[in-house]
Amino acid sequence: MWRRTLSLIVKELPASARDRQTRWVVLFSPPFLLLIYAFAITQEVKNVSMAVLNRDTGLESRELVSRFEGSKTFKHILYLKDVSEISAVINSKAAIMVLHIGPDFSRRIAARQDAEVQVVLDGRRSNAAQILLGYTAPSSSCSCCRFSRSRSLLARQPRR
Amino acid sequence: MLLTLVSVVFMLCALGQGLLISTLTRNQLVAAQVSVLSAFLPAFYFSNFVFEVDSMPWPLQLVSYVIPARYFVSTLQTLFLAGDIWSVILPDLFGLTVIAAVLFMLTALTTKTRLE
Repeated sequence: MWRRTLSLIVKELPASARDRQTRWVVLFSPPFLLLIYAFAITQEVKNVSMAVLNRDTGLESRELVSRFEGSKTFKHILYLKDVSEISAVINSKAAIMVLHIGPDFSRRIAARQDAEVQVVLDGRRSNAAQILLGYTAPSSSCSCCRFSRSRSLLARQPRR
Repeated sequence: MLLTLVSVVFMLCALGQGLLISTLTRNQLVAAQVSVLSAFLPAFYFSNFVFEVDSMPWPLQLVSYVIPARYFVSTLQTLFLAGDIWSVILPDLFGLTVIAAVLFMLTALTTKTRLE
């Protein structure tokens, strides 16, 4: 069986290499694809855009935002002014994630209570959104002040 | 209705690509190989469907702009999950139309007509 396979290879390889187009497609495309896919196929999420709506004026909220500013995951960070801007930013794909910090964030931390932030994610890119949520949870917990427990929510508009 | 329109334009892209491949290639084996390499695999990897295009290096991100599936996947996701958001759908539709027009133009230029 192997002898016959070998003679088939010996016969077919020069036959397909004879034609210029076939030579290119058969011999040159696999290494080319290998090169491309080595860089393209990754589950890591980076260079995405996010938005921040910080309704708190305290130090702790600014520290939380600065953790996102320093990370390589986010290329652009948009700063929102109002809650009504959240849905527009998610819908138009301007940001995949919105971090919403409520007005009582630093007050609750000062009172040693659990402070919550809202994370709004784009449900259209569900895979990347889940990974981003995974990135967000550890970076919101902090050693000096006790705030954690980010509540997630997949942004999804009801169909009209 | 909008779904039908976008699907039709995407089908035109696929048709143009198929016509271009069959005018350029000389035998069926090459045509089948080229269509898998140039249509199926890029549509799977560069369309934001499974893998994030934003995470790729920028030369590969540029490649993703000439893949019709990128625009189609974006529109499908928006239509099914978010609603009629024109700021997403119109640019995608424009991209698909441009790609379809370019493919048909290239096909018209490369097709040799002869009488036998």
